[in-house]
Amino acid sequence: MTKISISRLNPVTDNEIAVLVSTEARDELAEHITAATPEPAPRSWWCRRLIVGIPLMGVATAAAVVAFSSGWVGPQRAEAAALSFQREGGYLVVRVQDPNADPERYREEFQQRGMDIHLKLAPTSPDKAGKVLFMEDRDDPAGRLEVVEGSCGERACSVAVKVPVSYRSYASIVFGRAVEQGEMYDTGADDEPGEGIGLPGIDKYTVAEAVAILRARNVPIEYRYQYRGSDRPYPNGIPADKVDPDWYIHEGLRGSENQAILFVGPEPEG
Amino acid sequence: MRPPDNRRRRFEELYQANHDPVLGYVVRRTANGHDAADILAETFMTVWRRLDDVPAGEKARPWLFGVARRVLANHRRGERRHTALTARLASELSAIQRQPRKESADVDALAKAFAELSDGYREVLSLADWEGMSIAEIAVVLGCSANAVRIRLHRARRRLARALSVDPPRRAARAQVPEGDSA
Repeated sequence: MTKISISRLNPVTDNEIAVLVSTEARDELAEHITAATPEPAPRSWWCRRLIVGIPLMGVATAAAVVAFSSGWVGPQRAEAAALSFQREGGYLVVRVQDPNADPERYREEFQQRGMDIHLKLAPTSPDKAGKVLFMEDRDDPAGRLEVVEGSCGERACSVAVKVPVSYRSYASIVFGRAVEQGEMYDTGADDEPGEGIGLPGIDKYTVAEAVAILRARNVPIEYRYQYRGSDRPYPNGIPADKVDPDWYIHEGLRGSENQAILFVGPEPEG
Repeated sequence: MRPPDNRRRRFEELYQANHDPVLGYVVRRTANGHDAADILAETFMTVWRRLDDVPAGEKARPWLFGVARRVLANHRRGERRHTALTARLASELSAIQRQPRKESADVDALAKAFAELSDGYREVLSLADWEGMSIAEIAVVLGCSANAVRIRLHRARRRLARALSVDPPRRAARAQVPEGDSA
């Protein structure tokens, strides 16, 4: 399978890099940096915290927050609030009331309190539901955000964000939630095509070979068409009877109903 | 108060293990040695400040690249933070001479096709092919899911292939109806 690489365009090789800086200059930089007692980063500095599936606070804490979530100041609007805000010491504990709400509503509700916080719930596998998938915040004199992980289904969610009351910097947080019918997972820790459906290296299989394996495992199959960057003429998926068994598989993803979704085409992945 | 020794030790381990990879990443994306020195220093300053946030093990390097990427972006936006730490470094890096290589026509074509890709496509391709990162590592650098990286990388290579018109010959599609599988 042809795989175009840009390795030849690499402006500097690793070997060239290794001899670029003298040991003295290297040590001097490290010495200068560590000579300074770490200070809080400047406010404009971005800090990206990537937390994938690591519980940050204990279940007991999560439960305690849930117990207090009686809607501190709900937004004044006809529809039910997507978030609840409750004051707890120097923090606002912000809980997700409606895990299916448009993220724009979360943003508005934060905005009503002068906060620039973007919250999103992404469909994910059951073991990541209620966990933080992504978090990015900026330094703020008020302190840092804390997240409270919990469980998160389609209708109810016990996750929360603890925001210092005077926090005014930007932050973005993505929690995982259970998938709805027909949804595909939004995140995955897969490394190779097909890993999510238990067939790593699926791009080396023909359709016939992959189908035989998946059938033996009783995995339902759906197909998506890809040809030279286009999904035409099958933008909504190609029927199985139009798929040639000798075609190439580009990718295999797991759908929300545990079906395998195979991206196939008459040519190998470019 | 001096930082405790174990903090310093952790930093030094990270520094030793990642100095060259981060320097390579920075040098490949900057026009001159002074910028490269500033960005390298700023990246490791951040690592020092954020030591508690640096993930352990294999995730540390892509995390550092994520920091370097942000410093680079700020730098390009003009938010330069020159430090006095980098005088010697800047002077050494300024010695980098990018010799115009005598390239063959196919490398020229590849360079042209690569230059015409969007920033996002160039970024995933260069992380994969120049920095040798896996999809999972690139996902950490970019702060998105592995699937998103895989799809972006796939599309980037496909665009490159189309720009070079080196798509492999199409297999003859069979007319016969394959074994049925309800979609």
